[in-house]
Amino acid sequence: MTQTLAATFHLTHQCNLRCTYCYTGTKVHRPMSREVANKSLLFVLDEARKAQVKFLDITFFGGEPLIEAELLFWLADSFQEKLPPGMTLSFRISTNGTLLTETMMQALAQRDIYVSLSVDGVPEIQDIQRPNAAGKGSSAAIEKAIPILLHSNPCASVTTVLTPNSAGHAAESIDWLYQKGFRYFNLTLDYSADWTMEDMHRLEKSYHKLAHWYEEKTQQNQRFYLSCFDERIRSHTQGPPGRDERCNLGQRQFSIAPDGALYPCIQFVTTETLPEFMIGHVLHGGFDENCREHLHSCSEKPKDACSTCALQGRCASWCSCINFASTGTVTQASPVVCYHERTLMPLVDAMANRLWRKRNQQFLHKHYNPLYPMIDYLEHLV
Amino acid sequence: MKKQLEIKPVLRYNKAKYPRYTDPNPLDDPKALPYPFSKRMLEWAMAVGIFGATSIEGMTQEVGNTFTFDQTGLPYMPAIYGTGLPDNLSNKEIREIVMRISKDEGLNVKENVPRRYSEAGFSLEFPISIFDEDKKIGFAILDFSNMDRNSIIHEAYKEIPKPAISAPKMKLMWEQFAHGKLDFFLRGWLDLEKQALWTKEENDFYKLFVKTTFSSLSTKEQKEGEWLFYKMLIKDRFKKNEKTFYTKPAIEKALQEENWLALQQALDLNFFISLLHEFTREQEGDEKVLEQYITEQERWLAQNPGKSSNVANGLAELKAPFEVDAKVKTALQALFQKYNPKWKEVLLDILNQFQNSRFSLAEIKNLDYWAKEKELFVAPISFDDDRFKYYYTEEKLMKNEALFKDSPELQRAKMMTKEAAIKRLEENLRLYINWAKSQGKY
Repeated sequence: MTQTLAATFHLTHQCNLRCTYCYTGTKVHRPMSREVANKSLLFVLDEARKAQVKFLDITFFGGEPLIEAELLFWLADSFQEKLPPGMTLSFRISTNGTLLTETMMQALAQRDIYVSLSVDGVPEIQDIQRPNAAGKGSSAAIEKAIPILLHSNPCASVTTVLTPNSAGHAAESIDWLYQKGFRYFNLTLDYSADWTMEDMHRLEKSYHKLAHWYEEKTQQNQRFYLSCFDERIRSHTQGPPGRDERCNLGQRQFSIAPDGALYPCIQFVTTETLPEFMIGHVLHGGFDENCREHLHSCSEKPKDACSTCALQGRCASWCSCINFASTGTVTQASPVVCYHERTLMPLVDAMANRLWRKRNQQFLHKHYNPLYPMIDYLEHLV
Repeated sequence: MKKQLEIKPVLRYNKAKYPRYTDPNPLDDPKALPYPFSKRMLEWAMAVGIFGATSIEGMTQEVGNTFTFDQTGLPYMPAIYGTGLPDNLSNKEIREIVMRISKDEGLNVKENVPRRYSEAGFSLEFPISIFDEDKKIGFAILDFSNMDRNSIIHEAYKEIPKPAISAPKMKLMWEQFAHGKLDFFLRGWLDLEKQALWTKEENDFYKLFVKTTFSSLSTKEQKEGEWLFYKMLIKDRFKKNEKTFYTKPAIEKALQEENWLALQQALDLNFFISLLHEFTREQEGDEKVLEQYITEQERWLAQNPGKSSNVANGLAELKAPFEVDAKVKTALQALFQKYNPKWKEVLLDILNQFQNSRFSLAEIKNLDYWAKEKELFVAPISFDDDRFKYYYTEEKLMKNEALFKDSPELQRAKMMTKEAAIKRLEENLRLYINWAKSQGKY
């Protein structure tokens, strides 16, 4: 039995930005209908009841989900109304922030919807990688949205995507976001891009700068979370993620496309239907257990190429969605992931070693104190 | 042409030196710092009383008294092999840090404030290094200069087993000693030594020497070794006749005596004389004055057989192996240079003042109690508190980190290890002050 069930509602394929690395296909006005939304809601609640989960995590995704704000709020309110007793509900939205006005933020905050903003860092990078439909940069709109978001929730997280073009700017982008007030950073790669050794070398240099930044901030007792560093340290201090902690490709987590099709992860929801990765449909009987199980078993197969690797357990090669984005299949490990881990892991460990040698108080509590997340959260709220 | 990426397993990887999930949690180490709460958080949490909830299982140190007696490391346990004290922050450095943090945290502090505490039946007096009298929050920076050394050394290093020795046995022992025989019970001799009050160093040195030198030998060999060593000590004392407890006439007299009391009196007087010599060696006391004191002491001993002498014990207390403070020196000098008919009272008064200027172990222990009762918040900052020692000594850094003597890297590492100790002190001071403030007296 799993403790948590996570469902992502893709409210629309439409988006007002045209990110260069977007994998979801053509931006078309094809929102989730109220009928599909209602069926999806009942389906999710039914699955949660059947699995007897304690926590139900609902994420709103797109396209840009705030384009369908009315539907989003209806879903959130309906979930609250129909939530079975004893189950805890949490909401999250992943947005590009361009539609985040104060009124919108208030409406989201009233419903306890946690906002995660997608921003690629310094304005120059943001404008190049995340232009609007007219081809103009989106940084100005984002700079307006950031204070609104952080004023409402100082613990809001930001997701930043590094592409081969922006690989050399990881440190300055994170620092820019830090200066803006963010403290929770999800830094990820565009795994679908055609990464070369040269790109990776630039990324490595940038990571060195970022390690220096991380170390300096930690020594100043600053509280922050930087996924690419903290998760790798975590894999050493707390062990590799257990099966229960992983999404298990469609078992513990799934995505609902605007038309009601069910997929194991957001990576598979595009304008084009991908029948080989579809694991059911809310309008046609829910999960197709055979497909679901087949896909899951494929993803769990050991990766031969990794069998002798000493980083197994600490690296992200278990993530089928990343493997799919990089190789087009869920069964093969990604060379991008492999090179990235081989570069990043020693760099992160060397930095952590230095902090450990200094018995840095912030480092020790961040990685060895089980109460740290709660205290850290409180610190940011007070 | 672009070079493409490929899967390449890492065959060996051992780069992470920080504790992994299978190792003991480093926060369980008593030297680990508490969670670095921000000042804002501390104030807020104190107001809403949240810390009870966050101190579960000790993973965050409870914001409570961070300077309890248990943290002081007292009573002091001398190092077996005499490696000396580890590198740690100096008294002066600690004092500066405490002053700075106290002011930062809004205390109005003064230095070296005497404090008298009395309750029905007893009273105590001790100095507080840095103290805010209004808020009753302060710090006792403890080192050998302001602690009663006799009371803070670990009992295991002070206590000598006291076997019951009958008078015939005693006589036999003296005879054996006089004839250089070795088949006697050495502990009996040590008991005599205790009566004569060897200095603390002599006691420690003797015990450690015997323990470390003879521990691998058979029981018989051990006894022979101890005997040899003991004879060497005595011989050395005889050579330096004027400075020893056992002067030749005293020993000879003792050997003629038939009873233990006479022997004890001889030793007591001898001890008193030795103490006077110890004190006056550098201060050039007046010989006539000293003679007069010795005569009076001898008379007192003769009139009070079996009673130990307060004045001798008082002198012994003052004769801490570490330097006594200037006031005591001046007062004693005056006493030894000019006869004072009330010299015994004056001496005990000096002793009293001396003790009041220092913390005894009981007083340090009582700080916990007074803090718990919310009467007085004085944090003992001990020289033996592990939290403020340096994790890496120069020797360790050179050995473990392969750093060369006088290299910039070594200097930097030393500086970092000192900075870490300072930080630990600062954090604990802030926690303590905030906790003390929240206890209702503020």
